[in-house]
Amino acid sequence: MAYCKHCGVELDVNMNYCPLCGELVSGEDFIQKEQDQFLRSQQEEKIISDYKKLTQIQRRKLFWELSGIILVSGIIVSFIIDLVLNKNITWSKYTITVCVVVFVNITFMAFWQKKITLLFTGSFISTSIMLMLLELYNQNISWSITLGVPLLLAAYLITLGLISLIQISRQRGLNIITYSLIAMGLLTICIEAIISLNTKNRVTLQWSLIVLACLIPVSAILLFIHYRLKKATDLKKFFHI
Amino acid sequence: MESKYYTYQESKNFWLTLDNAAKIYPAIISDELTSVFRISAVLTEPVKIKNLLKAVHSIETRFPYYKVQLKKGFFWYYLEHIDQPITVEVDDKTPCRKFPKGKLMFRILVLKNRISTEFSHVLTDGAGAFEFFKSLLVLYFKECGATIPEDFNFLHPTDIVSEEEFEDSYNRYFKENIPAMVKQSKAFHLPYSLNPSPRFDAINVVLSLKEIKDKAAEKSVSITIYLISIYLLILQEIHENLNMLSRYKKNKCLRVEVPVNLRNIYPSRTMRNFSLFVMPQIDLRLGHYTFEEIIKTVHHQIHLEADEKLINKNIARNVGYEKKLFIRGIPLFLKSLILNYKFYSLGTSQYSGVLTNLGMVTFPSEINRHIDYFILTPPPPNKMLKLSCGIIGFNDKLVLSFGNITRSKEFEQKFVKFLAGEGLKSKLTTFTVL
Repeated sequence: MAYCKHCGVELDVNMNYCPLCGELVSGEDFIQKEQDQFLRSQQEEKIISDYKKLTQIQRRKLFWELSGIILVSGIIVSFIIDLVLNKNITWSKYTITVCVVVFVNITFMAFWQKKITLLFTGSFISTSIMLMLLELYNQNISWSITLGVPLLLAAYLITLGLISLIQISRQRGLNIITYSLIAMGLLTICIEAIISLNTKNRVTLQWSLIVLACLIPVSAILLFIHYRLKKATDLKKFFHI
Repeated sequence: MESKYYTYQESKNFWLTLDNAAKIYPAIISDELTSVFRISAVLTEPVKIKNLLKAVHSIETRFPYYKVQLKKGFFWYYLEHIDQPITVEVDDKTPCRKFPKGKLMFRILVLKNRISTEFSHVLTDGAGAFEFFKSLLVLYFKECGATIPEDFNFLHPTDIVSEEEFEDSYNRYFKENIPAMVKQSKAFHLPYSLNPSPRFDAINVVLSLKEIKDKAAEKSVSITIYLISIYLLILQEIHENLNMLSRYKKNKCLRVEVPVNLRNIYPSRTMRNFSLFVMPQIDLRLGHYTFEEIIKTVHHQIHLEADEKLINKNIARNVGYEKKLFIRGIPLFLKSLILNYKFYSLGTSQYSGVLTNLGMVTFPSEINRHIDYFILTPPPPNKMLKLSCGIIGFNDKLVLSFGNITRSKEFEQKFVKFLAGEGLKSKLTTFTVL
């Protein structure tokens, strides 16, 4: 009968280590069992595909590498075709710019997945630069600064707020849909405000208010359903006197 | 009271208010003053860990009222169901450690041939914890092959949990319009300096139950009264050995708090706290007491104080406070400050020591031969009290466990020396060495 050296308890015959303290059982039997287990695990490992063995970080890196290869190929191919057909760089600058920005965004997502603010900032800056470049290729810069970038900023800020709210929510369910609906409502307000500022030089809100007014009751119903039972008991126990 | 029965699924997601006795503990709990007590069973052979884990698994759903965590409300603390498995740990750390927040407030500990359970007093008292421990041990020995007689009474894992097990029995037996207890004078406290952190340590004294029973019978008193009398006698000796100035400064009333299991007085199946205390005393202003005089006065005081009507008075005082709306309406942070102050002024300042006796515990004969003795370790005493004692009897052994937070072992030495003088042989153990 085996005993744990640390806890002094009696271990079952098929126990290789103490379930209390993790102390390994010494002796030849144990070494034999360890070897058996090692051989078994070796066989099992062969069955598992290489991909499954990769960690999350390794998988993300692999995705980044593959995307990189595809996008760089696209850049090279479009560049060569454009050069061969037109003897100059014409339409390919658009595809090249888009491919580069997509790759930059994939890079941010692969390496800054946990740093959400950094990821959003990087993505916003790169996409804004892309919009401005696309317009600059036409020898003119107007809408990207006044419309494109502000709309993009509103979308990024609202999405970042939504993600942060979801992350801090203890209980996730219908409340997530509610937050998303409210975020959509706010985005429509921003869109209309920015567009009206550009077209009429003043902020006028019409259709976006109707959208928001429709979304609020739906959100309220969803929130009520979500918190009704849970919160009723929560308040009762929190404030019991 | 009409019983309602719960299945485990039904009993999930519940929350409980703290019982009357438990209300004080969250306000005073600290790393040193943990309010955690321990019951240990020392077996005759090493614990078979696989069987123990199976036994633990089988009782996982039987005691839902212990599967709770302590949460802060606006006015009171409360207990909320928490779906965490019961953990079994190696018993190689300081006994009666505090439970971390958000975790279960009881644990099972194992080392060599000793199985222990530690409970926070927020959950239950010694009697409630012992019922849990009894079920665990019976199922463990059943896994080891022992046959359990049909008529042996324990909480079986397949039983449906009764609502009565959840109840705060103090409330059930609270009678209104009873005059409250009169506040007692301050009592003498041991003069020793404290240990560095972690302060708590326990010394266990194993005695022959037959020998001590015979000795108590010689004096025509119970074992508890005999031991309380020794406790008071030692306190008197320590008081008398103080220098002139200290003796003058220290209070001259020696009082020992003795918890009483109210389940023996009122019918109750509660698994939560349901005990009160009596406080036998000797007043040294009246002069020196001989051992015989102490035994005589303790005997009468215990019988007088454990009277149902006086106990009612005590319940009326404790529960009465809780029922007053202006007290209930005080926000928790203020209430905690007040309770902390009251714990010392109304509680600890009134007694010099604690002696808690769980009594004789019994098991089927097939299990008896596998258990050597039990140990009941009281919660770490506070800075004022410094020392307390837990007692439990099993088979032919009675074990005293002295929980001490001071550098001095004078009290324990004097106690054991007195026992030896009475012809009672004792064996000392600690939790670090088996």
